[in-house]
Parts: sequence; C-alpha cells; structure tokens
Amino acid sequence: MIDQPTTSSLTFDVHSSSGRELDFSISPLSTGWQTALTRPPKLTVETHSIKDLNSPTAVVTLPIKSRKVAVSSFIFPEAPEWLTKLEAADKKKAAQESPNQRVARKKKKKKRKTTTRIKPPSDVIKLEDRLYYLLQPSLETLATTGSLEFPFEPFPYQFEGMAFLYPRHAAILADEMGLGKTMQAITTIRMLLRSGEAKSVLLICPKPLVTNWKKEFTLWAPEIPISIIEGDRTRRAWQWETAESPVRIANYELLMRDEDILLDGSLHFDLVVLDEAQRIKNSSSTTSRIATSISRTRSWALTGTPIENSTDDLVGIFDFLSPGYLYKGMPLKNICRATSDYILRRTKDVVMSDMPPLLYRDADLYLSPEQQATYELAESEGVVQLEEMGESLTVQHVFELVLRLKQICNFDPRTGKSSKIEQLVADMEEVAASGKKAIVFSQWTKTIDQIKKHLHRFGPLDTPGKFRPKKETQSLNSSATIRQNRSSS
Amino acid sequence: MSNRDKKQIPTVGFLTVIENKQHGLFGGYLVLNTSGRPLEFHCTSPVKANKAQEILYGPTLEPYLYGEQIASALLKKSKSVPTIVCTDCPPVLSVRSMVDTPVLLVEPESTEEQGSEQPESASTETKFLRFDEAHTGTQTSQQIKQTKFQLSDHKVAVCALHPEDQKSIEQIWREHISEIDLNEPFGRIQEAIQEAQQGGR
Repeated sequence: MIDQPTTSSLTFDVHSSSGRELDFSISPLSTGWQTALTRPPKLTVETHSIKDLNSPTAVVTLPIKSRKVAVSSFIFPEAPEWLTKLEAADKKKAAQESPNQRVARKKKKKKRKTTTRIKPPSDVIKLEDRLYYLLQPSLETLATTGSLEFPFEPFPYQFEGMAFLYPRHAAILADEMGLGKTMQAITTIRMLLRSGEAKSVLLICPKPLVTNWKKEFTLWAPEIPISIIEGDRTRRAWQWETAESPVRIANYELLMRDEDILLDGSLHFDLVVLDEAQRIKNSSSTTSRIATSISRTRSWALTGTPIENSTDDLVGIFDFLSPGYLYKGMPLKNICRATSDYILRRTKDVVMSDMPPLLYRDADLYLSPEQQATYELAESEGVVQLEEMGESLTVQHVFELVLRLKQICNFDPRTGKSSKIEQLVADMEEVAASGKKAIVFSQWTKTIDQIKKHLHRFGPLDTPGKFRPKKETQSLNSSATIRQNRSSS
Repeated sequence: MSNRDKKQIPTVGFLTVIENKQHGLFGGYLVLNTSGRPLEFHCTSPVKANKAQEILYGPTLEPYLYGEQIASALLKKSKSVPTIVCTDCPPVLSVRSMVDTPVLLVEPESTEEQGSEQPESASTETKFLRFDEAHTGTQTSQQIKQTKFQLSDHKVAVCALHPEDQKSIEQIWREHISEIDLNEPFGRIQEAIQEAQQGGR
C-alpha cells in the first residue's frame, strides 16, 4: 500500500523579479478527478512455475515438396528397314574412305554456310506432325552426312524447293523453266520414300517426257526402282496392280485408256505428281476428271506456267490439289491470299544470286590471210553463180552461200587455217592454267571434229546430239567439253 | 518388334533445358538415329523452384532442377536406350549418377575459326571445382566436376565422377556417330519447345 498526503490548500513561496517574497495562499479548484487521484491503485500478483530447462526443444518441420515433372512425348515413324540397311552400308563406305577424302568431305561440310530446314505448313494442325517436320535435320546435313548423295551440288533455292514440297500434301512447284523442277521433285520423292512417309508414288507427265523422267530418276535417285506404265492393256493392268516399284511413271494419255483400272477403288497412291500440270487446267476435261479421281494422300503439281490464260487455270489445278478450295470467278486478291502457302514460284532473276554470273563477251577477230583469200573467192564465185541463176534464184540459194561463207569463217576448207581456233587455243590455255573447265559449242558436227583436233592436248570430250547424263558427268570432269548446239553457231 | 527396340541399332539422345523468365525451365529431349533423323521427342512442362528451394538448395539448385528433376524425368520417358546422351547444359551432367548411359557435355561452337590440326580425340586436364563454395548465386552451373576432352572439332566433357565414360564415348563416336553434328540438334529442340509452347496455348 502507498500512503498519499491529503491536501486542502497549498502555500507557495514566490520570489518577485526584484527579490521580494510574495506570500499568498492558493486553493485548488475542487473537481471530480482529484478524488480519483487519491484512490489507491489496485494491484494483483500472478504466480508462474518455471519449467524444467532440460526438456526437448520444439522443432517445426517444413517439407520441401518437389512436384513431379510432367513430360509430353512424341514418337515418330521409323525409317524402313531397307533404308536402315542402306544407311549402314553408306556408313561402312564412309568409314573406309582415306584420311584425305575425309578431310575433303569435312571441308566441304564446313563450307556450307546456309542451312535449309523443313517448316511445317500452316495447314498442318496436329502438334505431333508439326514437331515431326520441325525436328528433321537440315537438308544440307542430310547431304553432307551421306544420307542423301547428289551427283551435283544442288543450288540453295533447290534445297528450299525440296523443303517446301516435303511437308505438303498439296503443292504447286511453279518455278520458271530451267530451274530444276524435275530434280527438286525427284529428290523430295526420294526423301519421302527413304523416310517411310511414302511407299507408292505415281508420276504423270506428257508422253514425250517419260524417257526424260526415267533418265532424271536414274541420275538423282539411282537407288529408287521405277517402272514405266506402258505396253498392251494386259501388261499395263498388271503394272498398275503390282506394286513392284515404289515409283510408277505414266503419261496423260494412259489415264483415259486405263480409267477403269485406276478408278476401280483398289489402287491408292501416297503421292501423285502431275508434271506440266497445266494439262488439267480445264476442270471439265476428261484428263482432269480422271486425275482428280485417283485415290491418293498427297497431290503435287509441277508447272512453269500455272496461269496460261486466266486465273481459272489455277482453279483447275487446285481442283486436283484441294477440290473446292478455289472457285471460278474468285477475286484475284482472295486467290493470292488463299494460295500463298501452296505455291512456290521462283524466276531466274530472283535466284540469279545462286547462279554463276552470265557474261557475254564479243571478240572481234580478223580472218587469217588464207581464210580471207578463200572467203573472197567463194563470195565472188557465189555471187556470179547467183546472177547466172536468173529467175530460178530463191532466198534458199542466198542462204546456202551465206552458210558456206560462215563455214569459211570458222575454218578455211583448203588449208585448215582458222583465226577463231587460234584464239580458242589461247583461251583454253588460260582456262587450263587456272584449273577451270570450258564448254565449247558449235552448230556443225564437222566443226566440232576440227576443234577436237586442235584441243587434243586439253583432253576434250565431245557430246554431240542429245544430253546423256552419264557421259555428261564424265565430260564435265575434263578441261574442255565440246558440244553441238542446234541453235547457235 | 520395332526397329528401335533392337539394341543393335544405335541412337543418340540430345537433351537441353531452356529458361523462360516468365514460366521457368523447359526441358527437351530428342532421340536421333545415327543419320540424324528424329525418332522420339519429349518435353517437360515448365519447372520453377519455389523460394524455399532457392534458399535451401543454394548452389546445388541447378544440378537438382536440371539433372534430377528435368533430365531424369525426360530419360525415364524415352522408349529407346541411346548409346549416349548429349547435352549443352553443364548442370544436366548431374543426371549421370541416376542413369547407366554416358552423358556428354558439348560446348557450344565458337564463332571463331577452329584450328583444323586438332587431334581426333585429345584428352585435356580434369577440372575440379568446389562444391562447398559460399552461396554466391553465380556459381551454380559449374559445380559438377568435369573431365574435358576433344572429339574431332567438338569440345566436350563428361562427369568427372565417371571418367570411364570418356573411353566408351570415344569408341561410340568412332563407330557410329562421327558424322553427326553434335551442336545442330540442340537448335531443333529449342524450336520444337517453342512450337510446343505455342501449341499448348
């Protein structure tokens, strides 16, 4: 308990500023709370017992939970067994190559700077399918690892063409003539067959081109067996129905003759390719009707002129690729938008950077004295002869004289002298010294024979007449190749 | 029986982990045949460490997430047993203790011209790095001991706890995969993961 004084009045000693004491009493005003102040505070005391210090310490456990990682899996089709064997053989062959060959191949591999990857087209929706295309190696990798061997190095735009065709179920390769549509189509067919994505392919082309396709297949895909549909009806029926070769080549005319076999429901192709596809531009034609009715999984069209007269031509081709996708009278803007993912067209000027530069150089040469004399003699005699012909003279006779004079400009028939060949030999020496190769063209086979004699030391190989792939390859290994050109002198 | 179940057909696995600042870590695993064609692809959902893991795992967090969590889950899902698993992420090497397959770390290709006089397979020093360094937060990716060596043009390493892997990998390389570009498939995986992310949205 605490004692509190009770006070009713307070006395203060106050000093003024002058030092005098001021003595007076002050009485506080009586209020309610003064009583409360005098009331003693109420205190309570609690008692706690102290625990034993040796008891165990409380521990809080925080588990570190690890969530199970979710995994999405995609399994892709396997390569066919024949390909596995083929690739194993290729690898064995690569293992046996000499160190120099290996170094050369690796240098070539390093030299390739561009890589062309297959991109899934926009109409491939399923994620598994999109990933399948996306995860394929670059085409250049396939070429350098020996998975795909080429007789000649394809141009980058040709790799792009293959990457375009490969994933597409409907496509038009509309490259300008001369850019290698055939080679791009064959190589992509080869890739599809080798990956197991296609097992049966039908290629339809105009009849005159069948032999060319066969040759091109032999050149670019020598390991792929092909069969040409030909012969009498019984033979053709047997060829259609037996799938001995993965690739069958037929001409457009046969479609009509073998319509009943093709459309009886028993035949199915993983891929149908139409070469010169403008042949089906008219949707109402029999050829178009049969081509569009062939049972197939993929449809490709090859043409250098997808639109010959009007955009309806393209509608006709699309009736084969994706029936109903385009319609006649569709606005051009809509056609462009709708077809942009289906058509690949390159022109020579666009891909010119991939081609060696083409330079024209006219060389002014003087005839040798012998040639000059022979020329003048032939000219004067010829003119006299023409004059003597009188009214029987035709333009044909004049052309014959010009032709004879042109031949003298190449070689003097009497002495064999030629200022052109002298210049050619000089040029060839330069070409051979720089390790390069040359192709010499002539309109006349006799001239080729003459040139061959003079270029003997450069080891020339002549390829007169039609293009023959195997011999052509051999020729290109030589310094000088002499070819007959039907259109130029 | 499928071709890939037959043990005589060798396959190579490529495993990488890519980081997405928003979602976390995505793992991708691609199995190729020796011609470089895809046979399988597996990818994980995003994995992100929580705050407690970040604090408590410290410098071992990356090996844990990359190796034990992601790589282990991916390898378990694979249908085929590859001859080797290649990775371009050092922390993935930690998965080696959980699998029997040799795991090879492939260093990214340098942009500079590489010397062509490198021997086919030249061993270099074993590099030891400390596991017990303080939590600096920047040491994470180099804490697995590596034995570095050269495979043709590729600078590679194996987990130093499994030095025998070097010999077996060199043999596999010579016999089966010397034609494969060990860097190129990682680009494919990254594209595929991006595609899968877009497809999942």
